[in-house]
Amino acid sequence: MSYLTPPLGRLVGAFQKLPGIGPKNAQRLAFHIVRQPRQVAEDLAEALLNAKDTIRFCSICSNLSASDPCEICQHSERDQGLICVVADARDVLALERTHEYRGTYHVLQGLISPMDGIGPEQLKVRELLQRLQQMQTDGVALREVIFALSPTVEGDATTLYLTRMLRSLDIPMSRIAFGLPMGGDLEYADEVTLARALEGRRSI
Amino acid sequence: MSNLPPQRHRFDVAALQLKQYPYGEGDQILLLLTREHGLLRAIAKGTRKPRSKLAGLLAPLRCNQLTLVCGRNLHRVEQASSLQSFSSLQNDYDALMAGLVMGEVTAAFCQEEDPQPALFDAFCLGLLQLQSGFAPRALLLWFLLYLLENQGFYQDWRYCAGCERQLQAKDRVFLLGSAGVLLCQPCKPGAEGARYLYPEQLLALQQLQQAPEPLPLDLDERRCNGLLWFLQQHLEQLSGKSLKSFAFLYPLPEAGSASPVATPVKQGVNTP
Repeated sequence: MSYLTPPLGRLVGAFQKLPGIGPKNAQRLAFHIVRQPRQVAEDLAEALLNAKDTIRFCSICSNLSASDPCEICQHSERDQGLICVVADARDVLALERTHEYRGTYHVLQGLISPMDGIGPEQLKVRELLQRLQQMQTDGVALREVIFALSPTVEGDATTLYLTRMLRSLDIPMSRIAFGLPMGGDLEYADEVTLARALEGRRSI
Repeated sequence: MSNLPPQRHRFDVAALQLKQYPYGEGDQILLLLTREHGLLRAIAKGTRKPRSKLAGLLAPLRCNQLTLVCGRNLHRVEQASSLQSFSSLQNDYDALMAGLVMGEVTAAFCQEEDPQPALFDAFCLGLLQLQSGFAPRALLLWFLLYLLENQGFYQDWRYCAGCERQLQAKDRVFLLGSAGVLLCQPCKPGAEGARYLYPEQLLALQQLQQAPEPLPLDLDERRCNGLLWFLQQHLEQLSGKSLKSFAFLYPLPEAGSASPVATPVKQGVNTP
């Protein structure tokens, strides 16, 4: 039997559907909202609906954005011939935090996962291909496609798939380096990471 | 009776990781193949967090020496060190896909607490061969036939399943994927879904079935795919599971082809 009054139970249930929120956390959030002034709840509801109504996929890079094309694709100082392929919109944020990259992105919205049956048709691969072909048709100089995908089996499978598929377009392709984290200690690095760091060494 | 150590005890085991899936905020559940205990499931705490020391080691198709702590439902990974990382598979799409199919099929057929020393060794041998550049499709065919025999599903493909006559290279032979049997021309009528088997495919199947180690095959990619498709049907029928990774073995579309973006399509399926 539930001891929560139905509206509160519904609110707890709604929070519990969010990723990383268990029953206890859902209750904590629900009770917090109920105790707040009405304005707080209204602001939250309005923000949720506004985000849901306005955010969509950018028609060029498939990133999440309120405008189409997104702010990055519209930016005049961005190098349009440099495309960084990432799995998720959160990866764009991570790369933007570096303040080092001045090109554009393409967000695949996931990775190929053979054992889960997730294939390229479920991702934004077709959009990437059409974008590159359109750029070549328009005479835009494609300098490089950089794959910034996780060093996991899924990331490797996606990178290998895309490189093989795009080979015929004759565009320079690269993959970000893998290895030791900054400030990390060699002694505590695992064997596989260290081996990849050695493999990806560069001359100085 | 369980051959696992008593609860809360630690034990060391060499384990091949077949699969992993996220659990909770930062944990993973690993599906492992071991010599002594067959399949094992273990939780690896915090391995999806960036500072995890084990995250680099715990990935599919890696062989690690693990220290596990017995739990009521799941074991817990306490320590790990790499025995064989098979890292060059990550540079070859076909080899990686073949390895993943081996993993999925093994997970579908093996049981927990059922020792699998021979299969474990065959899996490791297969990955080593893939790493050294052995043709992925030929190796996968060998492994799948080995697994079928190892798990007690041996079918003698020297004989017709209908009349039990020995099949010759000159015969018109048909394979029935759902039952995993071969039929000669007179026995074929009534066997719905039976597909024609080319003589070189029959020879390859018969050779592989007798081979203790992977064999190089004199088959082109299309013929290999035909055999893989046949085995996929048979394995799915036996296990009652859909084996999703098989779809990724078939040829990749390239930019400029009619439909460049699709899960690689089944090709090489023989027509009578």
